[in-house]
Parts: sequence; C-alpha cells; structure tokens
Amino acid sequence: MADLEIAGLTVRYGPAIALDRLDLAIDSGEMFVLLGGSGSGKTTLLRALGGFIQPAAGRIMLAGQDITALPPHRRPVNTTFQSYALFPHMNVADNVGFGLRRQGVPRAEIARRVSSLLDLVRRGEFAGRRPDALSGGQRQRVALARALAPRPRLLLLDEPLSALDRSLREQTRQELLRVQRETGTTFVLVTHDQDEALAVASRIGLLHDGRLAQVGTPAEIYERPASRFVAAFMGAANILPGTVRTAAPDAVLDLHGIGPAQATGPAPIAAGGALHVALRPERLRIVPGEAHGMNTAPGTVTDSAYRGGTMDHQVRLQGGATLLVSQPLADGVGAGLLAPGSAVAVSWPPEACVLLPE
Amino acid sequence: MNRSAVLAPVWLWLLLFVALPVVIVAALSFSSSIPGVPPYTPLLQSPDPANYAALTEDAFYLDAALKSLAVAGVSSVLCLLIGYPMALAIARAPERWRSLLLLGVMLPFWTGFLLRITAWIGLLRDEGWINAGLQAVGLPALRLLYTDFAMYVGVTYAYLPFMILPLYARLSRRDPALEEAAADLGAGPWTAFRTVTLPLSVPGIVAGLALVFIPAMGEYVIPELLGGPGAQTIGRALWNEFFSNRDWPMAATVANALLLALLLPMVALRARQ
Repeated sequence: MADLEIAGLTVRYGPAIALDRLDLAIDSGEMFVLLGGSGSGKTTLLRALGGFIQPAAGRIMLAGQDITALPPHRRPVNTTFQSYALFPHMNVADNVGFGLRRQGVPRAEIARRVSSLLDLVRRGEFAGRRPDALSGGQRQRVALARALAPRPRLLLLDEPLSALDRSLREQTRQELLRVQRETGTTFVLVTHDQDEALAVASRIGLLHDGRLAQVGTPAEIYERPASRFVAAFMGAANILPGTVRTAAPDAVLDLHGIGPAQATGPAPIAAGGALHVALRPERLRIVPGEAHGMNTAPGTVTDSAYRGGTMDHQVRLQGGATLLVSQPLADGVGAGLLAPGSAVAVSWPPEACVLLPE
Repeated sequence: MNRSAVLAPVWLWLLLFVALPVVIVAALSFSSSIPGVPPYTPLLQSPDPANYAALTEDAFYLDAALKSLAVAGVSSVLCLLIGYPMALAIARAPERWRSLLLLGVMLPFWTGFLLRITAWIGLLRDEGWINAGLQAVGLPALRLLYTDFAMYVGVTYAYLPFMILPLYARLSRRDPALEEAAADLGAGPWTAFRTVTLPLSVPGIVAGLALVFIPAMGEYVIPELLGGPGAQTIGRALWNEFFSNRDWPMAATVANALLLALLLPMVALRARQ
C-alpha cells in the first residue's frame, strides 16, 4: 500500500506549467529519487510536497491523510535544504532540537533524542559547535539529524550531495543509505546526477518538462528506457534511427547508416515501422579483422581518449553514423589509443540493442 | 599614491571639525562666565571645575538629563515597534517594489526638517486637522499640542527612517531558506519570526536604536516646538545656557556631560565585545 500518493498534481508559475497533472505513488520506507535536469520540475515537486508551493490542482495524500492544503509547519514532512539552512545563531544541539521544541517534547527527552540523533549521523562531538564552525559534510549530517528529529513520515532531500567534494560524496551517500535503513523513514531525494540516482535509489522517477518520463528501479530505467529522452538522459550516447525488418520472434532491424542488426525479443511495432535504437557505449567493442555478419560494422576511428577505466573511441562507420565505443582497459584490442583514421570494426551482442518506441 | 596620502583629507577633516571643537568645548567648560566679549575668562588660564560641581548640585540639570533619557528611550522603543514591521514588510516585498518603498521612507528628507516639525503644529493644535476630524465624528477635542504626547509623536516621526534603514539593510540580507526551515520543522509564522527572524536581526535593531537614541537624547527643536513648558530636556537646557543666560562655559559643560554620558557606555560596550 502506497504511503505517499500524488494525483493530478499541477503547479503553475504564472502562465508557465511547472508540473503537469503528475501521478505518483511511493511506498513506505522507499528511497525514491526524483531525477531530472534543470527546469524539469523536480524541485517544484519537492517544494509542493514540503508545503512551500500551493498546487493549482491535484492532491497529495500521505498515510491516507490529504495534506494538499496543510501549511509546512503542520505536515509530518521534513526537508534537508540544498543550502542546509542551519540556524546560524544556534549551536548544533539546538538546531537538531528545534523541531522537538516545536512539538513540546520535554527538555530532558529532547536532550536524549538530540544526542542519539547526533550519534546516528556520527557527529555527537559537535553538539556545542556553531554551524559556521562545521565543514560542508558535517553540516549535511547535522541538517539530516535536524530533519529526522521530529520523526517525519516523509523526509525530503534537496540535492543533498551536490555541494560536497567528490571524495566526500561517496562516503556521505553511504551514510544516507545507512540512516535511511536504520530509521525506515520514506526518503524522497532530488538530484540532477544520474549516477547518484542509480547508486542510491530503490526507484527513480525521471522528470521531464513537468511530467514523469519514466518511473522504475534503477535497472529498469537504465536497461529498458521507455523513450529516447530517458535513454539519452541515462547516458546512452548512441541513439540511432531504424526500421523494423522482422518484428518477431526476435526483431531484426535496419539501422540507418549501419545496416541490419539483430535484437532480442519482439519489436514493439510491426515490420516496416520506424523506431530508435540505443546502443550503450560500454556494450560496444572494437574487434579485430574485417567486419562481417550482423551486429558488426566497419568504420574508421576519428578520436580516441583515455578515461581511466575505459578507452573511449569515436568511430565513424562506413554507412555514415558515428558511434561512441567504451572499451574496458582489460580488453586486448582497442584498449590502447588508436590513431585517427585507423580502420576498425565495431561489434555488439543482440541484447545490447535497446528498442525505443517513439 | 600611498595609503596615508589617501587618508590625509579624512584625518584633516576629523582634526579640524571633530577633534578641535571637542578640545575647545572641553577647555571652555573649565573657564568662567564674565560680562563682555567673548563672555568667558581666557581658556586654560585658571581651569576651574566649578561648572561640573554646579551640574551635580543643581537638580535642574539632572532632571533635564532624566527627561531627555525618557524622551530618547521611549521614542527609540516606539520607532522600533513601528519601524520593524515596516522594514520587514519592505524586505519581504517583491524585488521591483522595494526601491519604491524605500524611496517612500526617505521622501520626508526632501523637505526641511523644521518645516516638517512645524507642519505637525498645524495637525496637532487645538483647531488643527486632528481635532477637526475628532469633532467631525462627534468626539470632544483634545489638547494635543505643547504636551509630552506631541513631543513623542514629533521625535518618533522625525527619527523613524533612521530605525527603518539599518533594520531593512539587515532584514533584506536574511536567508529565506532559514524561515522555510523553521516552518518545515513545525514553527508557525509567529514562532518562526520569534525564534529565527528576530534573533538574526539583532545587529540591525542595535544599530537602529543607536541611530535614534543618540540624536534624540540631545534633541532641542522638537521639544521646543511641540512639547510643553515642562518638557525641559538637556538640549533645551543647553540652548538656554547659551542663548538666554549667555553662560558659554556652563553650556559647554552641559554639552561635555552629554557627550560623555553617550560615549562612555558605547566604549564600555565595545570593550566588552
């Protein structure tokens, strides 16, 4: 049974529509990630859930209660803000205890809960410090403890990791997941970073132009994108137009600029229909020798770049299309830099073809 | 150009128009009043603290000082109570409205100070606009002009912008996310104001109180024009010593005492910080 149910939610800024009749259900205890670019509506949705924006239409139900019209201070929802928004005139313990004082929790009980929350985020020794004496990562944890203190039914996190250094981000991400597991609170996290979304989410809702482009587990979104937009947003660099040659049992396609290609599973449309195919760079391989047969295409290297774990090659195919190939360094062929103009063949397994209906 | 060359005009200005007059007034306060021109014994010839003794012995000066303290204190608090909501409203107004509203606050400065205070006489006097309004709705006329009430109205009116401007400067730089965080954590609008907005604006409050209290303490014109004869403030006492009694040394003593009374607490406050 869904804990949070959003139905037909519409938010307008003047004539502009920020959220367009959005429906979404989130289960209790989920780590749900709202993913999207800037202007996609992800922050608007978060602020509508927090009560900072009044929707023009639609309903928000939390634990069976309609909270659409409730002001922020009456919602069992707490937020960690992107800037953390810690109160600069209070020390860490008073910041964390702020929500408990508002609930009228007795003083001794507040002290006990504040200290156990600071232990939860492993920052017990900072109780007496002022926020301006803390680093970004420490503030992030204090903000998390403060938002968890009133025991919200739903915790909203606005870009919680974006202000942190790369090295700190991974560690903080693990912390977030641990705290989420230990408290069992439903988390809704907003981010623009698809890697972050894949790493933490139980499910992802990908927003585009105020609508949900796709909702699903990280694997579903990554491996079975519902549209060209989703495939492109999730980092599929090679998206090619094609026509269906044979629809079933396993689709055979004509890829424009490449040639015939074998996929697995039936095509979503009948033979002769047009669609797009995503070929993930990491599923493509540079292979030795001449290209022959299906799912292999000859071409020349136009650019080659060392990327640490992989070697990225741009290959212009004889048919005219350009493919990005991410070759693992462990592979023998194509694991080194290739001189521009080198003649190569690119190959991929049938299951690498992701069919995207329009 | 080096630093000292740039600062030289500033130092020269401070020396000529701040330090030197203070020294002269200090020296004057230790001379004695005599008939003649100038009406005092030569400066620093025989320094005599008699004026300061008179200041403490004559209850008139102490009463005047207490009256001024009351005027300045009450007016500063009134300015704060009226000015804070105005400053907050301007700070929360949409961006395009703010400069217009600030202009409204400063607009009175475009008219002469004396003129604006005199205009209050027209409003407050027995047959003035306020009493005309009261009588028009069937209420009895009130004696307003030449009372303490008129004086407080005048001082509060005149110094209100000096409260609003520093408060606005502070409040306009507040982080709206902090108020949202307070609301998010269960604080209603009033609690969010009391626990977050107000404590964070304390430096603006202190600046505003100082900007109103200090000039109001020495205020002469408003008590003279609007206040009753009983409203003997230290500013009026000083004026009378100088112009009516032609006792320049005593006027200088009163001025010095006022300066010290205002300066010493501020120095003490700074030393503590």
